[in-house]
Amino acid sequence: MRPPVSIGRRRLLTGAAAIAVAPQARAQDRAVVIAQTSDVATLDPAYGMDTATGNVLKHIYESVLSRRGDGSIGPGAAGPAVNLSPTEWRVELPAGRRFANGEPVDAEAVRASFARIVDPAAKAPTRPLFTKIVEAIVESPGAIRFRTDGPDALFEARMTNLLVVPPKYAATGKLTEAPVGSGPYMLEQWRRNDAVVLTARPDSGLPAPHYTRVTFRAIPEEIARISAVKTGEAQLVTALSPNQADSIARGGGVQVLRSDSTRVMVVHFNTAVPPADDLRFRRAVAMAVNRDEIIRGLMKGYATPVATIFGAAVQGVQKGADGAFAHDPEAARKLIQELGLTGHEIEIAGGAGRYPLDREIALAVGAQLRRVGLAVKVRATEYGTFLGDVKQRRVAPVFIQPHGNVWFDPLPQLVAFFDSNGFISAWREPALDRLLTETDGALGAAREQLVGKIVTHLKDEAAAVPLFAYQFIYAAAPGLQWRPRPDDVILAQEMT
Amino acid sequence: MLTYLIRRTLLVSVTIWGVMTILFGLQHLSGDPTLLLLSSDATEDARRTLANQLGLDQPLAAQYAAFLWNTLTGDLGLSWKYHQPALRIVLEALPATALLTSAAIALGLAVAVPLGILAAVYRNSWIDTLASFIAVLGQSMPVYWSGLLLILLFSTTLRWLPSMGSDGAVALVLPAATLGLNIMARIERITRASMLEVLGQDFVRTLRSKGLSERSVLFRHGLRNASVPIVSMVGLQLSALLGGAVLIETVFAWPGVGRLAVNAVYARDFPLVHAAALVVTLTFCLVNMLVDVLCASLNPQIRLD
Repeated sequence: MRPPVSIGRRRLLTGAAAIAVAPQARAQDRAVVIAQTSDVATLDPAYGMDTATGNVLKHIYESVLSRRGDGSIGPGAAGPAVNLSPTEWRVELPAGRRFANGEPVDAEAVRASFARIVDPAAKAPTRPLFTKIVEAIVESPGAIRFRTDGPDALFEARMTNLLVVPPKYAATGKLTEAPVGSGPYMLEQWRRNDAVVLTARPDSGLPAPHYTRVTFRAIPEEIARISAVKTGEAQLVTALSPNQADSIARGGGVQVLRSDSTRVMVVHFNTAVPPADDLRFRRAVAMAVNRDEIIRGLMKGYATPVATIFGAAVQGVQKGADGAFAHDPEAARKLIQELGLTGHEIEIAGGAGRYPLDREIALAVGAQLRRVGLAVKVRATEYGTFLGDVKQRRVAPVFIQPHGNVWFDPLPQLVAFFDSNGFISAWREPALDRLLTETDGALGAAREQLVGKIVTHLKDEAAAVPLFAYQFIYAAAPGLQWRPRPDDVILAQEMT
Repeated sequence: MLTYLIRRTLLVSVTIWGVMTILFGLQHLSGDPTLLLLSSDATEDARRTLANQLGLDQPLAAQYAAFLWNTLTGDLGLSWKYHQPALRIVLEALPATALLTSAAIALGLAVAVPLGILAAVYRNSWIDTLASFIAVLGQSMPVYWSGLLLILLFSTTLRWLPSMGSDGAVALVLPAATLGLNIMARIERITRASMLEVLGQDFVRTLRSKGLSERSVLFRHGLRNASVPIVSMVGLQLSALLGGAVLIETVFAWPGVGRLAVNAVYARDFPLVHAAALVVTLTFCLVNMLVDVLCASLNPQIRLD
């Protein structure tokens, strides 16, 4: 007979504590390495604009509202936002939340975070994102009201870019290298140009993330990034080219993940240079372009055909809006003949080296235009020079222009590329300018209808030929569970 | 010596002015940086505000004058990307580049000099052929290409070495070997040629006829006399090394000045490009000056002034 086992109270408690701690101890070992193409620029959210920086900042700080994985907007540190009048919004904050240094996450923190960005003396590059907001008024520790200088359909989107900082600490100027936020992670180490290491905050008040240690590494070279994920040095790597993604997908051993982006490749026309001032020529080009051939052959299927110049995640575009052109080379050839342009030399311009296969896409479009009788010369230049040429309307009559859309809203993209005073616009049409201004002042369904009208107008004028939306392509370790997002944001708290 | 130093200092000043002027011209020929610094759906007002913040709306002559003044005072301003003093950022990255280039030079010398001596001593033998083959291989392969091949072999396939980063000495092996392979070829060839020239001279025959050991003839007298062109070559190779480091640091994600400069160029971060160019130019000029002094100490026939 076995002797009775005696377990004292202390031993019992120790055992229970060990069982309770065990899963946590295992969790502490859970680390993930994410390799991006570039390093973090700064850890102060007022000055961080690029994707690589934003990805790290969104682990340390919380935005007032947050962009969800499907592109829609939900609560963040605060929210949701309530539209009090066309020019007033109120945002409420939950009580009891604190930054890592103990300062409260309250309305004053939101106001101070906004104020430091819009202060002209701060020269913050994020300032233009908030110029439409003229005032932030603290109503109570749990509520803040914003006033805009007109109806602002982008207000909620602006709030996804307003990362909240602790006001007293921010005033010390230390955020650049020693950030303090209210997000689920805090900084452990930043080795510039090499890696940022984050650890989970046990006291953030947010759901505990699966990965308790996150390292963002900067690996500019694609082959080195792929090697890193294959050897287990990284669990997720960004910015794969279609060719490499295709090769990896066929090779196995590593997951290839992808998501539609809001970045759309579009054929544009410079109407200052003949024959692009002729609608029939623009229609001929639109019909000659075979985007499916480009998606299949050049992009290896890692691109999505679009019906308009907007990616699928852009909100506020009428369902069924159609701005695309059917491929009809016969009709295009006939039009070119009617115009007497058969054998006529046309230049196509594009940027080179900024977006995946941008130069090759220009060459492919050039080859398709040759098939309908044009003598095409393709000129792909350094991207900055190309944009300068577009802006000055010195660019070729046909040019290939990638569109970005950080707002997930159609209007900023339309204004940038089609307003006479747009940021990178070669299009001049007073009637369209008026329509864009009218859309800027509208909200809700009325705005959506006006956007639909503009899409139809652009098609009628053959002002733009949408080709495809780029896809964000990632390589991931076999066990990593993560769903890529249309904004290219990578959040470790969304991974298991 | 003093006259020499004064003259060289003046020459360095002229060189820096020339490099900075070319840099300024190239920066402003490469388009409007505000178009790249903002997202493509930004507004024209945002672009104007940014241009004003960065002083890019000033006349070109005023920008050039400020650029030269900043160079002279060493106050290169804040990096547009990092929002920290540009010179400080470059100086922080300098040790990583110095470590990489030093390791590459050490590796290159350790292999190339013995190989060059062997190729000279056993002229037209299989050793000479092998050394020539290695030299041709090292010199003809672009560093980014050999770097990628080494990653595929030693990281992806064999999994012996990390493909990127700067964690510990082991991370230095691949980038230093890639960079070292390139300069090794040049040093091996110059060592072989110099040794052949020296070993064919009358004093070597005299030394041998006096009964000196072959080791003494080769290393004590031969190599010493052959070393001036080798040292000069190493000095000249520094520019190739710094150029190579730009590529190698990008391929291997090594956090040095080269990669920083490349990123700054892509991001149109003018102050950071300015700081990187200034530091690299100064380093290059100073090393060249040091090489001249070293050559003079190795060969008394060389007079600095």
